Amino acid sequence: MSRIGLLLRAIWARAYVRIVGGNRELSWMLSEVLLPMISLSAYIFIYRSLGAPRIYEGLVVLGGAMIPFWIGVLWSMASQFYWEKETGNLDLYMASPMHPVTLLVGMAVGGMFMSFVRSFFVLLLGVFVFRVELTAQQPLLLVLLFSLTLTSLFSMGMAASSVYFMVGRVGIKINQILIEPVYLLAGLYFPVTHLGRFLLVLAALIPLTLGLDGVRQLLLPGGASIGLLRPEIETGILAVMTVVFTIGAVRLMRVLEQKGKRDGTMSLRWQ
Amino acid sequence: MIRQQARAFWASIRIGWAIESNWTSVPLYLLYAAVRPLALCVLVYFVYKVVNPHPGGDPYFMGIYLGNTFFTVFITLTGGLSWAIITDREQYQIVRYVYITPAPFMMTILGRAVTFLGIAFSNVFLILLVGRFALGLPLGVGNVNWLLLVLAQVLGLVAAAGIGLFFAGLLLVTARHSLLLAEGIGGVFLLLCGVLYPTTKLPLALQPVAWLNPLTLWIEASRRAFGVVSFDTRLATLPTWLLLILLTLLTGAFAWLGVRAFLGFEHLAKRHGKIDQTTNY
Repeated sequence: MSRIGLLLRAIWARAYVRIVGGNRELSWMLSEVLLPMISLSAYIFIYRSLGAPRIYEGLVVLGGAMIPFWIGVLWSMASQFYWEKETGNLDLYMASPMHPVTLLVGMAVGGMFMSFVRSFFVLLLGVFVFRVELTAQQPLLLVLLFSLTLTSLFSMGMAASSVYFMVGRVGIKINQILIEPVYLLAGLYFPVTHLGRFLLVLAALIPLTLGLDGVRQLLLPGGASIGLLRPEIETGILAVMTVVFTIGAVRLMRVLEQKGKRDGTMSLRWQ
Repeated sequence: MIRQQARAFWASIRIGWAIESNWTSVPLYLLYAAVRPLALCVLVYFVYKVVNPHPGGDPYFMGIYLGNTFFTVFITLTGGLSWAIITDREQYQIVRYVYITPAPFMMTILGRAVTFLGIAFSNVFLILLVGRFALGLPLGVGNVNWLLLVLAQVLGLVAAAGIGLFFAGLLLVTARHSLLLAEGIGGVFLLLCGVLYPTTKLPLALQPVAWLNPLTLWIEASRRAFGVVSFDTRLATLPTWLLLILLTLLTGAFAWLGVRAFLGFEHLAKRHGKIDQTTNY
């Protein structure tokens, strides 16, 4: 088999589990869409109780629709090697003829698809249950910005995943701590411009912040009034982030894979 | 017998603490544990800024902040118990070994609950400190009705433990949804318990569900202990003594149901061979 063929087959094999397996069980899908939707509803009710303009309900729904992507990055990308290590799969991956980076790409492709399906249903529920009004302005820019948000987010997840060659439980703890604080920094339920200058600088380092801000500006009527930067600029920054994180992921994997092998932490379970 | 159970209970508390925290130092762990609930509380501060640029001076916001603060206790407790079942059964695979010890499984779970309770109250303390000094909320020690606060917490915690036991039991017979239940159930109660908004803002059909929930009354009593009395106009019509009586009755009912449900689910799990199943791996 050609080298390219092997790469593509490895990518497809790893992505298959998420594209087909992850969406085969309907009850998973229901619970993964409905439970986040319920907590998202609480934030819609808070805006209603405060008498805020309707645009903020749309803002919450779009924020909620981005949650599956962030959760996907954290649990299906960043910490995936931890689970693989615990189940003993990581050793098998390393012993197979494929390049380890294909694993990351496969995980990212499958993870994006899986998150996209869940995100789509959250959006659908938001539109039909809460009657949120969405209008695509500049559809081409919207598609480009959204795609770059996903690629930058998942390449960040790829970069983070190699850390699990080295650490175990500590990594999972870090993963857990990155859920709600990132919801806060990315402005998932409020306009990110409300954060102070210091927090904004920190928040802008997370692709989710810029991506969500851009999507809101391009999908919500009057969304430009709550935006941080112009969507074109955010698209440019996300493109740079994608390149930087992807290169970083490949380099980090090379270094940490060697270190993990040398220190014997690669297959160490329950550490 | 009682001495043996007490020893098992104490051992479970110590094991629970070790599992949660022995990867770092105690102060760092307590700070770490507070970050997630604190982020949720601060998030609501920025949400409120949409209608009021200075939420700190608004008594309505104080009601929201206090509600969210005490609700984190419920999240930590129920989420923690659910995670304890998942990690013991699926990751460390030690549930069957717990069963061959002389202590009942329920005692192990209750011991773990105490660990999470300690963590939860450390979180509450830190969140209140942030509210007082960073967000400018008037949370003075002198304004607190301590008796009401202590009574409300004791009752509320028993109710929360009852609900936690129910979901921990449910996880014993659930395949593959464990993680979602552990992380997602908090959202359901966040929606229903008048944490972020008065229960009167819920759709009509959901309002009775909120009022028959001990967590709603627990949070209302906790707010009153800090001097916030008119956050929920419907609940504000209840005098405090009646609120406490209702909370006691509902807590008793929920705690009893929680224990019965846990034992029932445990029996089912044993009967169907699910007690040590691994589904997320």
